Amino acid sequence: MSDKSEVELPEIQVSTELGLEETSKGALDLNDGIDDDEHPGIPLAEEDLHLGRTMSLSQELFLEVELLFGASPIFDGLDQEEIRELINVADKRPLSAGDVLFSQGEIAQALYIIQSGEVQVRASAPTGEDIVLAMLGASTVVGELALLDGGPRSATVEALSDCDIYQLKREEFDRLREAMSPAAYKVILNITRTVEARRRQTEARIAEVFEDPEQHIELFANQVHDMLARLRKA
Amino acid sequence: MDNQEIIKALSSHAFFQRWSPGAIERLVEGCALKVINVGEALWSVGEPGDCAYILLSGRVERVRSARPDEQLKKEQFINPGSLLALENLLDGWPHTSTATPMERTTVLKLPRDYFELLFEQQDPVAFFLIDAISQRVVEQMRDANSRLHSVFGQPAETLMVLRRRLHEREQKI
Repeated sequence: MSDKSEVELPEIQVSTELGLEETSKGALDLNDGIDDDEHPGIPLAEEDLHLGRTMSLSQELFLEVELLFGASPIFDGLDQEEIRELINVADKRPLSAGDVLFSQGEIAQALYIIQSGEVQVRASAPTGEDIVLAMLGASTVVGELALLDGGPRSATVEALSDCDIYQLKREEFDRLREAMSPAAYKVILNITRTVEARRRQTEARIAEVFEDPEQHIELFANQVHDMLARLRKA
Repeated sequence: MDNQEIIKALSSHAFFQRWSPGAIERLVEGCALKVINVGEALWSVGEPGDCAYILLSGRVERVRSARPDEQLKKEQFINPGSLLALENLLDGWPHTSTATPMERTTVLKLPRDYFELLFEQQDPVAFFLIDAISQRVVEQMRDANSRLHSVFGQPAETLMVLRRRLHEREQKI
């Protein structure tokens, strides 16, 4: 990747979308507080109309987002122009502590990149218990399967603190993919590699349990014991 | 089998139908033709995977064991153009299945190096392959997640399987 500090930053368009169901919990409208009459320079380029209103992002803020995207492994191998191509179709979405970013079972609509704050990833077991799978902080990516397929979410993600998050919507990303954008395909390849590595870890985790039954019997016996105790109480 | 016959065979498969003849030619250019007979393995569990295969003629059976029930999952590939071991184009992970021909079989061997070259050149051939790989990997991930969910989410059933497994081992000793 080229040295970002040596490159003159262009004026960048960032899409802002209003009233979408995914952003009902308070999506940041980047035009908030900005009076269009006072900012005649805010462009409404024809090619961007399908994305809704657009505005210029300050160079400082743009650089910050570029660094955030560039630091994530899913953007490995993308040059600066390609990262900008993706930033141009991303939206900022702030969350307050307690807000749910997405819920287990709902159809995946976007990938999220956490700029600041912390989220909890949890899933419901068939027994009804919630299992905390991970706590994720700044610079991590969550929900990346959304860009590969629009299947159901396998977990719920909730903000533990106020968060700033960027979202890359599947719909926007698919437009790049249909246009055979190398940037989009680099991202798909990176995500696919990550998913495949994770699948292999999952298979290994399952195998470990059954290859050494003696080691794991106590763990599962305790779980059954706890479940029965809870049922008796109920 | 010459290149024209190969291109004709591949064009009949749904996956290649959106490909131009030129794109199929570029794919074939970097592949090696391989003939395998009954009794040989196309690949075996544990072997490093450094290429994908495209079936041209014959029949291949892929077998893998899927925990927790240890059932052998068997899948047969009979259609010319079927893609095998595609995930090997991602990395050199070892194979988790075994593939053997059920009759004399001809395949195209697509090395990962060639796929990477096509990708560097931003060739649509590489992009089409990535579409297929990602779809397959997601399906496999969802299957693995579902099994993980049943192992850890249904402890009573898992406990029964573990006790049975332990009992079987003790009897063997």
